[in-house]
Amino acid sequence: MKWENFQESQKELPEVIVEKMISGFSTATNELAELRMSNASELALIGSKLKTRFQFRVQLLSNRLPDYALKVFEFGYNVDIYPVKIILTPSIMEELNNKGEGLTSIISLDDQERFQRLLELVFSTARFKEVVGGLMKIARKSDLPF
Amino acid sequence: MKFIFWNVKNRLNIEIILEILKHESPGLLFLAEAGKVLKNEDIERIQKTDYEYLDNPGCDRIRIIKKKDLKISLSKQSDYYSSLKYENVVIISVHLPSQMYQHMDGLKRYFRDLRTELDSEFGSSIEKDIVIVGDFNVNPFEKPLIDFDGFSASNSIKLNKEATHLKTKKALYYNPTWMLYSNAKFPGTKYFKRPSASAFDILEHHFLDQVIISYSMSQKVIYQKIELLEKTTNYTFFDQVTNSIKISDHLPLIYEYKIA
Repeated sequence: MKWENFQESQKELPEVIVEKMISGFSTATNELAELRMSNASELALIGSKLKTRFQFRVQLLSNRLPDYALKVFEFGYNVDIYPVKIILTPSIMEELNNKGEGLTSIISLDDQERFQRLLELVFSTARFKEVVGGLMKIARKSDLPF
Repeated sequence: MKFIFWNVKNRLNIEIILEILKHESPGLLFLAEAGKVLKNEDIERIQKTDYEYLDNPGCDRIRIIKKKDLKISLSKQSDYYSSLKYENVVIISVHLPSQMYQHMDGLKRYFRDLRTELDSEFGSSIEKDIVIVGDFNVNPFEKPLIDFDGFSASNSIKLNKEATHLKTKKALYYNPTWMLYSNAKFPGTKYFKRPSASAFDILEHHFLDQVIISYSMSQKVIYQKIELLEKTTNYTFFDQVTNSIKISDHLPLIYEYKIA
Protein backbone atom coordinates (compact mmCIF):
# COMPACT_ATOMS: atom_id res chain seq x y z
CA MET A 1 0.00 0.00 0.00
CA LYS A 2 1.23 3.43 -0.85
CA TRP A 3 0.49 5.81 1.95
CA GLU A 4 -0.45 9.33 1.16
CA ASN A 5 0.96 11.98 3.47
CA PHE A 6 -1.17 12.63 6.47
CA GLN A 7 -1.93 16.12 7.59
CA GLU A 8 -1.95 17.23 11.19
CA SER A 9 -5.30 18.64 12.20
CA GLN A 10 -5.60 22.37 11.76
CA LYS A 11 -8.21 22.56 14.47
CA GLU A 12 -7.13 24.52 17.51
CA LEU A 13 -7.15 22.45 20.67
CA PRO A 14 -9.96 23.48 23.04
CA GLU A 15 -7.55 23.99 25.95
CA VAL A 16 -5.54 26.42 23.80
CA ILE A 17 -8.72 28.34 23.07
CA VAL A 18 -9.57 28.46 26.76
CA GLU A 19 -6.06 29.57 27.76
CA LYS A 20 -6.22 32.42 25.27
CA MET A 21 -9.65 33.41 26.48
CA ILE A 22 -8.83 33.47 30.18
CA SER A 23 -5.52 35.27 29.78
CA GLY A 24 -5.98 38.82 30.93
CA PHE A 25 -8.67 37.92 33.44
CA SER A 26 -6.39 38.45 36.43
CA THR A 27 -5.44 41.88 35.16
CA ALA A 28 -9.11 42.71 34.73
CA THR A 29 -9.66 41.91 38.41
CA ASN A 30 -6.63 43.84 39.66
CA GLU A 31 -4.97 40.50 40.43
CA LEU A 32 -7.63 39.77 43.05
CA ALA A 33 -9.02 36.78 41.18
CA GLU A 34 -7.79 34.39 38.55
CA LEU A 35 -9.14 31.73 36.25
CA ARG A 36 -7.06 28.60 36.09
CA MET A 37 -7.41 25.64 33.78
CA SER A 38 -6.14 22.26 34.93
CA ASN A 39 -6.25 18.65 33.81
CA ALA A 40 -8.95 16.58 35.46
CA SER A 41 -7.61 14.35 38.23
CA GLU A 42 -7.64 10.59 37.84
CA LEU A 43 -10.53 10.32 40.28
CA ALA A 44 -12.44 13.05 38.48
CA LEU A 45 -11.93 11.21 35.19
CA ILE A 46 -13.43 8.02 36.64
CA GLY A 47 -16.52 9.81 37.91
CA SER A 48 -16.88 12.25 35.05
CA LYS A 49 -20.03 12.41 33.00
CA LEU A 50 -18.09 13.80 30.05
CA LYS A 51 -16.75 10.36 29.06
CA THR A 52 -13.98 11.86 26.98
CA ARG A 53 -10.32 10.94 26.74
CA PHE A 54 -9.00 14.40 27.54
CA GLN A 55 -10.61 16.49 30.26
CA PHE A 56 -9.99 19.85 31.85
CA ARG A 57 -11.64 22.15 34.30
CA VAL A 58 -11.62 25.89 34.76
CA GLN A 59 -11.75 27.23 38.30
CA LEU A 60 -12.10 30.66 39.78
CA LEU A 61 -9.40 31.24 42.40
CA SER A 62 -7.76 34.02 44.36
CA ASN A 63 -4.20 34.09 45.65
CA ARG A 64 -5.48 36.02 48.67
CA LEU A 65 -7.74 33.09 49.61
CA PRO A 66 -5.53 30.05 49.05
CA ASP A 67 -8.20 27.44 49.81
CA TYR A 68 -10.99 29.09 47.82
CA ALA A 69 -12.06 27.53 44.52
CA LEU A 70 -15.17 27.56 42.38
CA LYS A 71 -15.45 25.31 39.36
CA VAL A 72 -16.90 27.37 36.52
CA PHE A 73 -17.02 24.59 33.94
CA GLU A 74 -15.35 21.40 32.81
CA PHE A 75 -14.78 20.29 29.27
CA GLY A 76 -13.36 17.38 27.37
CA TYR A 77 -12.84 15.85 23.94
CA ASN A 78 -11.58 12.76 22.18
CA VAL A 79 -8.92 12.32 19.52
CA ASP A 80 -11.11 13.82 16.84
CA ILE A 81 -11.06 17.02 18.97
CA TYR A 82 -14.60 18.08 18.06
CA PRO A 83 -17.27 17.82 19.26
CA VAL A 84 -16.03 19.26 22.55
CA LYS A 85 -18.25 18.51 25.53
CA ILE A 86 -18.86 20.95 28.37
CA ILE A 87 -20.57 20.82 31.75
CA LEU A 88 -21.34 24.24 33.19
CA THR A 89 -21.94 25.05 36.83
CA PRO A 90 -25.75 24.78 37.19
CA SER A 91 -26.46 28.40 38.07
CA ILE A 92 -24.67 29.65 34.95
CA MET A 93 -26.43 27.10 32.77
CA GLU A 94 -29.76 28.11 34.28
CA GLU A 95 -29.15 31.76 33.50
CA LEU A 96 -28.20 31.00 29.90
CA ASN A 97 -31.23 28.78 29.48
CA ASN A 98 -33.45 31.52 30.86
CA LYS A 99 -32.13 33.57 27.95
CA GLY A 100 -33.24 30.85 25.55
CA GLU A 101 -29.97 29.03 24.91
CA GLY A 102 -31.57 25.60 25.37
CA LEU A 103 -28.47 24.02 26.87
CA THR A 104 -28.43 20.46 28.16
CA SER A 105 -26.49 19.24 31.20
CA ILE A 106 -23.74 17.97 28.90
CA ILE A 107 -23.29 20.41 26.04
CA SER A 108 -21.82 19.08 22.82
CA LEU A 109 -20.32 21.65 20.46
CA ASP A 110 -19.31 20.70 16.96
CA ASP A 111 -16.72 23.31 16.18
CA GLN A 112 -14.37 25.94 17.49
CA GLU A 113 -16.69 28.84 16.74
CA ARG A 114 -19.53 27.39 18.80
CA PHE A 115 -17.12 26.57 21.63
CA GLN A 116 -15.75 30.12 21.71
CA ARG A 117 -19.23 31.60 21.55
CA LEU A 118 -20.39 29.55 24.52
CA LEU A 119 -17.36 30.53 26.59
CA GLU A 120 -18.02 34.19 25.84
CA LEU A 121 -21.60 33.72 26.97
CA VAL A 122 -20.46 32.01 30.18
CA PHE A 123 -18.01 34.76 31.09
CA SER A 124 -20.66 37.39 30.32
CA THR A 125 -23.34 35.98 32.60
CA ALA A 126 -24.57 38.03 35.50
CA ARG A 127 -23.90 35.03 37.74
CA PHE A 128 -20.23 34.83 36.79
CA LYS A 129 -19.78 38.57 37.19
CA GLU A 130 -21.55 38.50 40.53
CA VAL A 131 -19.31 35.76 41.93
CA VAL A 132 -16.14 37.41 40.62
CA GLY A 133 -17.26 40.69 42.19
CA GLY A 134 -17.92 38.99 45.51
CA LEU A 135 -14.57 37.24 45.44
CA MET A 136 -12.75 40.48 44.63
CA LYS A 137 -14.47 42.19 47.52
CA ILE A 138 -13.40 39.67 50.14
CA ALA A 139 -9.96 39.24 48.58
CA ARG A 140 -9.37 42.97 48.85
CA LYS A 141 -10.30 43.16 52.50
CA SER A 142 -7.12 43.78 54.40
CA ASP A 143 -8.67 42.64 57.65
CA LEU A 144 -9.53 39.17 56.40
CA PRO A 145 -11.49 37.31 59.07
CA PHE A 146 -9.46 34.15 58.60
CA MET B 1 -15.94 22.89 67.50
CA LYS B 2 -19.63 23.50 67.76
CA PHE B 3 -21.80 24.51 64.84
CA ILE B 4 -25.46 24.89 64.04
CA PHE B 5 -27.32 24.39 60.79
CA TRP B 6 -30.78 25.82 60.27
CA ASN B 7 -33.02 26.03 57.23
CA VAL B 8 -34.97 29.19 58.03
CA LYS B 9 -37.47 28.82 55.18
CA ASN B 10 -36.96 32.38 53.95
CA ARG B 11 -38.11 33.73 57.27
CA LEU B 12 -34.81 35.14 58.44
CA ASN B 13 -35.30 37.18 61.57
CA ILE B 14 -32.09 38.75 62.80
CA GLU B 15 -33.37 38.92 66.37
CA ILE B 16 -33.74 35.14 66.43
CA ILE B 17 -30.33 34.66 64.84
CA LEU B 18 -28.68 36.89 67.44
CA GLU B 19 -30.50 35.02 70.19
CA ILE B 20 -29.29 31.65 68.89
CA LEU B 21 -25.71 32.94 68.78
CA LYS B 22 -25.97 34.26 72.32
CA HIS B 23 -27.75 31.22 73.69
CA GLU B 24 -25.65 28.51 72.07
CA SER B 25 -22.36 30.28 71.33
CA PRO B 26 -21.49 28.14 68.28
CA GLY B 27 -18.30 28.63 66.32
CA LEU B 28 -20.28 28.61 63.10
CA LEU B 29 -23.92 29.08 62.14
CA PHE B 30 -24.96 27.87 58.71
CA LEU B 31 -28.26 29.11 57.30
CA ALA B 32 -30.21 27.76 54.33
CA GLU B 33 -33.07 29.52 52.58
CA ALA B 34 -31.83 32.72 54.15
CA GLY B 35 -31.91 34.84 51.02
CA LYS B 36 -29.23 35.54 48.52
CA VAL B 37 -27.31 37.70 50.97
CA LEU B 38 -28.06 39.05 54.40
CA LYS B 39 -29.24 42.64 54.53
CA ASN B 40 -26.63 45.25 55.33
CA GLU B 41 -28.40 46.22 58.53
CA ASP B 42 -28.45 42.58 59.62
CA ILE B 43 -24.73 42.23 58.91
CA GLU B 44 -24.08 45.37 60.95
CA ARG B 45 -26.10 43.96 63.86
CA ILE B 46 -24.07 40.75 63.75
CA GLN B 47 -20.84 42.71 63.52
CA LYS B 48 -21.60 44.40 66.83
CA THR B 49 -21.46 41.03 68.58
CA ASP B 50 -18.69 38.43 68.83
CA TYR B 51 -19.75 37.22 65.39
CA GLU B 52 -19.43 38.27 61.77
CA TYR B 53 -20.98 37.39 58.44
CA LEU B 54 -18.69 35.38 56.16
CA ASP B 55 -19.24 36.03 52.48
CA ASN B 56 -18.95 32.85 50.38
CA PRO B 57 -19.23 33.81 46.71
CA GLY B 58 -20.32 30.93 44.52
CA CYS B 59 -22.82 29.35 46.91
CA ASP B 60 -26.09 31.21 47.40
CA ARG B 61 -27.85 28.34 49.15
CA ILE B 62 -25.77 28.58 52.33
CA ARG B 63 -25.11 31.70 54.44
CA ILE B 64 -22.39 31.60 57.10
CA ILE B 65 -21.96 33.44 60.38
CA LYS B 66 -18.76 32.81 62.32
CA LYS B 67 -17.19 33.76 65.59
CA LYS B 68 -14.77 36.59 64.98
CA ASP B 69 -11.86 34.87 66.68
CA LEU B 70 -12.35 31.57 64.85
CA LYS B 71 -9.44 30.90 62.49
CA ILE B 72 -10.98 29.38 59.40
CA SER B 73 -10.42 29.68 55.68
CA LEU B 74 -12.99 29.77 52.95
CA SER B 75 -12.59 26.70 50.74
CA LYS B 76 -14.32 25.23 47.69
CA GLN B 77 -17.76 26.46 46.72
CA SER B 78 -20.49 25.16 44.45
CA ASP B 79 -24.17 25.83 43.83
CA TYR B 80 -25.14 23.23 46.44
CA TYR B 81 -22.38 23.38 49.05
CA SER B 82 -20.03 25.76 50.76
CA SER B 83 -16.86 24.56 52.46
CA LEU B 84 -14.44 25.86 55.08
CA LYS B 85 -11.19 24.62 56.54
CA TYR B 86 -10.78 24.65 60.30
CA GLU B 87 -7.53 23.26 61.62
CA ASN B 88 -7.22 20.04 59.61
CA VAL B 89 -10.93 19.50 59.20
CA VAL B 90 -12.95 20.32 56.11
CA ILE B 91 -16.42 21.53 57.10
CA ILE B 92 -18.94 21.37 54.28
CA SER B 93 -22.42 22.79 54.56
CA VAL B 94 -24.97 21.58 52.03
CA HIS B 95 -28.47 22.36 50.92
CA LEU B 96 -29.32 19.61 48.47
CA PRO B 97 -32.16 19.35 45.94
CA SER B 98 -35.64 18.94 47.41
CA GLN B 99 -37.50 15.64 47.45
CA MET B 100 -40.65 17.65 46.75
CA TYR B 101 -39.54 17.94 43.14
CA GLN B 102 -37.32 14.90 42.67
CA HIS B 103 -38.00 11.19 42.60
CA MET B 104 -35.96 9.24 45.15
CA ASP B 105 -34.17 7.46 42.32
CA GLY B 106 -33.20 10.83 40.89
CA LEU B 107 -31.94 11.96 44.27
CA LYS B 108 -29.89 8.80 44.62
CA ARG B 109 -28.24 9.55 41.30
CA TYR B 110 -27.53 13.06 42.51
CA PHE B 111 -26.03 11.77 45.77
CA ARG B 112 -23.79 9.36 43.88
CA ASP B 113 -22.47 12.20 41.74
CA LEU B 114 -22.07 14.45 44.77
CA ARG B 115 -20.10 11.80 46.64
CA THR B 116 -17.81 11.33 43.64
CA GLU B 117 -17.30 15.08 43.46
CA LEU B 118 -16.53 15.39 47.18
CA ASP B 119 -14.05 12.52 46.97
CA SER B 120 -12.40 14.25 44.05
CA GLU B 121 -12.40 17.74 45.57
CA PHE B 122 -11.62 16.97 49.22
CA GLY B 123 -10.09 13.49 49.27
CA SER B 124 -10.94 10.04 50.55
CA SER B 125 -13.15 9.52 53.58
CA ILE B 126 -10.47 7.15 54.89
CA GLU B 127 -7.72 9.75 54.77
CA LYS B 128 -9.32 13.15 55.31
CA ASP B 129 -11.21 14.61 58.23
CA ILE B 130 -14.44 15.87 56.71
CA VAL B 131 -17.71 16.84 58.34
CA ILE B 132 -20.78 17.58 56.26
CA VAL B 133 -23.78 19.34 57.75
CA GLY B 134 -26.94 20.56 56.15
CA ASP B 135 -30.30 19.92 54.60
CA PHE B 136 -29.83 16.67 52.70
CA ASN B 137 -33.52 16.52 51.82
CA VAL B 138 -33.65 12.75 52.42
CA ASN B 139 -33.76 10.73 55.64
CA PRO B 140 -30.67 8.98 57.06
CA PHE B 141 -32.15 5.57 56.20
CA GLU B 142 -33.10 6.32 52.62
CA LYS B 143 -31.28 4.82 49.69
CA PRO B 144 -29.49 7.98 48.48
CA LEU B 145 -27.64 8.08 51.79
CA ILE B 146 -27.06 4.43 52.66
CA ASP B 147 -26.65 2.63 49.37
CA PHE B 148 -23.26 1.54 48.09
CA ASP B 149 -23.86 3.56 44.94
CA GLY B 150 -25.31 6.48 46.91
CA PHE B 151 -23.48 8.44 49.59
CA SER B 152 -22.59 5.30 51.62
CA ALA B 153 -23.16 6.77 55.09
CA SER B 154 -23.37 4.18 57.86
CA ASN B 155 -25.46 4.27 61.05
CA SER B 156 -22.65 3.02 63.30
CA ILE B 157 -19.47 4.70 64.47
CA LYS B 158 -18.03 1.19 64.56
CA LEU B 159 -18.24 1.11 60.80
CA ASN B 160 -15.85 -0.57 58.41
CA LYS B 161 -13.66 1.90 56.60
CA GLU B 162 -14.87 0.63 53.26
CA ALA B 163 -17.41 -1.71 51.73
CA THR B 164 -16.90 -4.06 48.79
CA HIS B 165 -19.38 -4.92 46.07
CA LEU B 166 -18.31 -7.24 43.26
CA LYS B 167 -14.65 -6.39 43.92
CA THR B 168 -15.30 -2.66 43.84
CA LYS B 169 -14.37 -0.89 47.07
CA LYS B 170 -15.93 2.28 48.43
CA ALA B 171 -14.93 4.25 51.51
CA LEU B 172 -17.75 4.87 53.99
CA TYR B 173 -18.97 7.85 55.96
CA TYR B 174 -20.60 7.79 59.41
CA ASN B 175 -23.92 9.51 60.05
CA PRO B 176 -24.28 10.62 63.73
CA THR B 177 -27.83 11.83 63.03
CA TRP B 178 -29.07 8.30 63.72
CA MET B 179 -28.50 9.01 67.42
CA LEU B 180 -31.48 11.39 67.32
CA TYR B 181 -33.94 8.57 66.62
CA SER B 182 -34.38 7.99 70.35
CA ASN B 183 -36.96 10.79 70.32
CA ALA B 184 -40.17 8.88 69.67
CA LYS B 185 -42.49 11.88 69.83
CA PHE B 186 -40.93 13.86 67.03
CA PRO B 187 -38.21 11.89 65.24
CA GLY B 188 -37.27 14.56 62.76
CA THR B 189 -36.20 18.09 61.94
CA LYS B 190 -39.16 18.57 59.63
CA TYR B 191 -42.75 17.41 59.45
CA PHE B 192 -44.56 16.58 56.25
CA LYS B 193 -46.83 13.80 55.14
CA ARG B 194 -45.96 11.11 52.68
CA PRO B 195 -46.76 9.38 50.31
CA SER B 196 -45.25 12.13 48.24
CA ALA B 197 -43.64 12.75 44.89
CA SER B 198 -40.58 10.86 46.03
CA ALA B 199 -41.74 8.12 48.40
CA PHE B 200 -44.64 5.77 49.04
CA ASP B 201 -44.74 5.40 52.81
CA ILE B 202 -46.61 6.81 55.79
CA LEU B 203 -43.78 8.56 57.64
CA GLU B 204 -44.45 12.13 58.70
CA HIS B 205 -41.33 13.06 60.65
CA HIS B 206 -38.10 13.41 58.74
CA PHE B 207 -34.48 14.05 59.61
CA LEU B 208 -33.72 15.98 56.49
CA ASP B 209 -31.10 18.00 58.37
CA GLN B 210 -28.10 15.88 59.24
CA VAL B 211 -24.43 15.64 60.04
CA ILE B 212 -22.17 13.15 58.31
CA ILE B 213 -18.49 12.63 59.06
CA SER B 214 -15.71 10.87 57.18
CA TYR B 215 -14.35 7.53 58.36
CA SER B 216 -11.05 9.17 59.25
CA MET B 217 -12.77 11.71 61.46
CA SER B 218 -15.06 9.10 63.04
CA GLN B 219 -11.97 7.29 64.31
CA LYS B 220 -10.58 10.47 65.89
CA VAL B 221 -13.73 11.71 67.59
CA ILE B 222 -13.27 11.71 71.36
CA TYR B 223 -16.45 13.68 72.03
CA GLN B 224 -19.53 14.38 69.98
CA LYS B 225 -22.95 15.72 70.75
CA ILE B 226 -25.84 16.10 68.35
CA GLU B 227 -29.12 17.68 69.31
CA LEU B 228 -31.96 19.81 68.07
CA LEU B 229 -32.47 23.34 69.31
CA GLU B 230 -35.99 23.40 70.70
CA LYS B 231 -35.95 26.76 72.47
CA THR B 232 -33.86 29.68 73.61
CA THR B 233 -34.66 32.24 76.29
CA ASN B 234 -37.13 34.15 74.15
CA TYR B 235 -37.97 31.87 71.25
CA THR B 236 -39.57 28.47 70.91
CA PHE B 237 -38.59 26.41 67.89
CA PHE B 238 -40.42 23.28 68.98
CA ASP B 239 -43.71 23.40 70.85
CA GLN B 240 -43.88 20.45 73.24
CA VAL B 241 -47.62 20.88 73.77
CA THR B 242 -48.66 20.77 70.13
CA ASN B 243 -45.67 18.59 69.16
CA SER B 244 -44.92 20.91 66.25
CA ILE B 245 -42.18 23.07 64.78
CA LYS B 246 -42.45 26.84 65.05
CA ILE B 247 -40.82 29.80 63.27
CA SER B 248 -39.34 27.82 60.34
CA ASP B 249 -40.52 24.42 59.11
CA HIS B 250 -37.12 22.97 60.07
CA LEU B 251 -35.53 22.68 63.50
CA PRO B 252 -31.99 23.97 64.04
CA LEU B 253 -29.47 21.14 64.28
CA ILE B 254 -26.52 21.43 66.67
CA TYR B 255 -23.37 19.37 66.37
CA GLU B 256 -20.32 19.57 68.59
CA TYR B 257 -17.16 17.51 68.32
CA LYS B 258 -13.68 17.14 69.68
CA ILE B 259 -11.09 15.08 67.88
CA ALA B 260 -7.86 13.58 69.17
